[in-house]
Amino acid sequence: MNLKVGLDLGSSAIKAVFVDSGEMVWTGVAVTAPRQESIALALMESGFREIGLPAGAKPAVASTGYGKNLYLTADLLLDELTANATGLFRLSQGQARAAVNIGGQDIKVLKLSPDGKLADFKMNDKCAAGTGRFFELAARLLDTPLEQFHELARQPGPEVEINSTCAVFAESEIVSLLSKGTALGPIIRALHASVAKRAAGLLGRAEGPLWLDGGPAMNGGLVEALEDELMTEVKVVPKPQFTVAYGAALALAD
Amino acid sequence: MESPPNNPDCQAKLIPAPGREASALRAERLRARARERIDLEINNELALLAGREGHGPALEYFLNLLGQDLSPAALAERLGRKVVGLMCLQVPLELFLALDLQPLRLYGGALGAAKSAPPGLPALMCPLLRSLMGEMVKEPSLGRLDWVIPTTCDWVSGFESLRELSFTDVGSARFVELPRRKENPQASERWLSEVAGLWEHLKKISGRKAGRRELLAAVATMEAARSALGKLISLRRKGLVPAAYFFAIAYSFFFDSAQAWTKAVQGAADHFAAGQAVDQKTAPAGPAGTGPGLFLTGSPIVFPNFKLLHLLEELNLTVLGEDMCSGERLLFRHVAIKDTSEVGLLRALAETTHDGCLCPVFVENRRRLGPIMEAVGEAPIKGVAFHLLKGCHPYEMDSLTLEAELLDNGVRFVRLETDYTPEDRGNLMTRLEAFKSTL
Repeated sequence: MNLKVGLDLGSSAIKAVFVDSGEMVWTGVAVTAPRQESIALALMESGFREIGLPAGAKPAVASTGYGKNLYLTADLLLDELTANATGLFRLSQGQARAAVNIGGQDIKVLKLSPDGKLADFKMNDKCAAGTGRFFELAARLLDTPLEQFHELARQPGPEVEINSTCAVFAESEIVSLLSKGTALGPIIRALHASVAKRAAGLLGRAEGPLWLDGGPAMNGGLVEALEDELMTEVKVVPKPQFTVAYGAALALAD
Repeated sequence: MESPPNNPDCQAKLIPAPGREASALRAERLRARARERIDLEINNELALLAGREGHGPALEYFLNLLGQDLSPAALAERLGRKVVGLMCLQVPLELFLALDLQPLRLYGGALGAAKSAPPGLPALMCPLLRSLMGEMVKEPSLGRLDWVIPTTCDWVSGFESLRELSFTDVGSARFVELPRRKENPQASERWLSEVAGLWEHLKKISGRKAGRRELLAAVATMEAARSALGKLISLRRKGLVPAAYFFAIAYSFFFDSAQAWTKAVQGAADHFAAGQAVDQKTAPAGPAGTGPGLFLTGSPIVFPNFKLLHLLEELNLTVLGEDMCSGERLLFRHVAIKDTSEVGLLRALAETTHDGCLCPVFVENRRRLGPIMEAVGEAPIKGVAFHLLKGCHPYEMDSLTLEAELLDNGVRFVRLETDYTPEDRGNLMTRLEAFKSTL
C-alpha cells in the first residue's frame, strides 16, 4: 500500500482523504473548531484504524484549505484552488474544464486547461452570500436540515424571490417570507436560485458542462437551480465535498 | 461701553455651556484616539521598513521624513512656505513649485484613520477618503487648508460636502474641472483654461508674482525629480527595489522640497543599484524578491497601508512595476515644451496632466494598456495583479476591460478586491497562491 493523505482544513469542515495508487480509499470529515491540527490528527487516526494501517506507518500528508498552515507537519502545502483543479480533473476523468466550488466561506469559479491545470479562477471577496455558511444560516432559520432542501424545493408553491446579495439581508428576506406564511418549498427554491445567480455572475458565459463541488454540491436542488440559471448541464462528482482534499493527496509525488 | 472680554464680571459669565464643553472634550478625546491609532500604524510600518535586509543609510531620509510631524503647520514651518491641500494629481505640481507653495496630497492610507472617521459617512466609501476624514479628526488643520480639488472621480468631486462633516472649520476649495474626454480639442482648450485659472488662484494664495521664468524653473525642478524617479523605476524592473520602499519613497514627495527629495531619490537609486545582480531572462533575484515577477495596477496603494505588498512578499511574488498614481505615475511623463512663453508653458503642463493621465475616470482610456505591455516587454513580468479598493467604482469598471485586453495579449490577470482591514488576508492569500500556481 502506497498511502497518501490529503487534508482540507476548511472554514466549516476538516476533510481527510486517503489515496492509494490514485484511488480514494477512505474519506472522513469533522467540524472545524479551535485546535484544528488535533482534530485533523484524530480524524486521520480513526481512518488509519478503519483501514487497518500497520502501527508506525506514516503516510505523507498534503495540507490545503484556509487552515492549511495550522497542520504543522505537512509534507506539502497547497492552495485549495490548485488542489481543487487537480482533484476534480481526476474525478471527472479529465473532462472538467469549468467548475464552481462552494465552500464554507467562499464561492470559487475555476477554469481548467486540457491537461488539468488551473488556468483561471475567480473568487468572491469576504462575504457570506452564496456560500456554505449562507445555507447553514438558512437551514437554521427554516429549522430544516440541509439534507431535506432538495426534496422540499420540489414541492409546489408560488414563486418567490430572494433578491439580496448580502447574507444578512437575505436572512431578513427569509424571515419576512416566513412571517407572510410562505411555505418552505418556495423559500428554498428561491435560496437555490439566489446562490445560482451569484455563481453565474462569477462564472460569466459557460461553455460545455459545468462541474459543481464542495459540500453544497450534494444538494440536488442547487444543481437544478444552476442548470436553470446557466442553461447548461451541471455535473457533480461522487463525494464532491472531498475533491479538494483528494487533489491535495494526488499532488504528493509518488 | 466695555466689551465683555475686558469686564471681569462679564468674563465670569462666559463659561461655556456644559454641552459645548462636553463636545470640545469629546473632540479632543477622539483626536487623541485617532492620533494614537494612526501613529502606531505609521511607526509599525516604518519599523518594518527599517528592519528589512538591505536597508541602508540612503533610505533613512525617507523614513525620517515620514516619521516626523506631518501636520500642515509643522510642514509649513519646516519648509518655510505655505501648504496647499491637493486632492488627486491631476493638476500640474509645477504651478505650486513656481509660486513657492507646498502641495500636500490629501488621501489617507491608514486603517486607524479610516476607523477614526466621523460617523454618518456612506458605508461603501472610497477607503482613501474615509481615511482622509480620519486624518482630519487627528489633524483638524488639514481641513482648514486651502484645497485644490480636480473633479476626477465622483468621490473626489463630491468630497467637499463630506469635508463639512469633519470636526473642524473648512478652508477654501478651488475646483478644477476636468474634461473626461481626451480626444477632443475643445476639451483640451477647456482644460487649459482651468489650469490657467488655477495658476491665477494660486498666485493669489501665495501673494507672489510669477511668470515664465518661475514656471521654467519649476519645470526644470520637476524634470530632475522625474529623472531620479525614472532611474528608480528602471532598477525596479530588475527586481532591485522592494515595493514597500518604492511606495514609501513616492509618498514622501509631499513632505519636503522637490530638490531635497530628488537628491534623496538619487541616493536611494545608487543604493539599490549596488544590490544583487539580476538575470532578467529568468526571474528576478534582487532584494525585491526571487519569485515570479508581477505588475500591479488599480486603486492607489497609500502609505502605511502596505497590506497587499507584504502579502505578495510573503508569497514570494515580486513587484517589478506598477502604474498607480501613488507610485510610478506620481510625477507623470516628461513635459514636452514647444513654446516657452507663460501661456505656452501652461499649455504644455496642461497637456501633460490631461493626455498623459491614465486614471480610469476618462471616457477613452485604451492607452492604459500600453505602459503595462511595455513593462511586460522589458521585465520578466508573469502576470498583472489588479488592486481594487472597495467603493472605487472607476477602477472596478476599468478592471473588466483591462482584464479582457490583457488576457487577449496573453498576460495572466488577477483581481484583488480589498479594503484597509486585515480580515481578508486569508481570502487574498488564497487568490494569490492560486494565481502564482498559474504563472
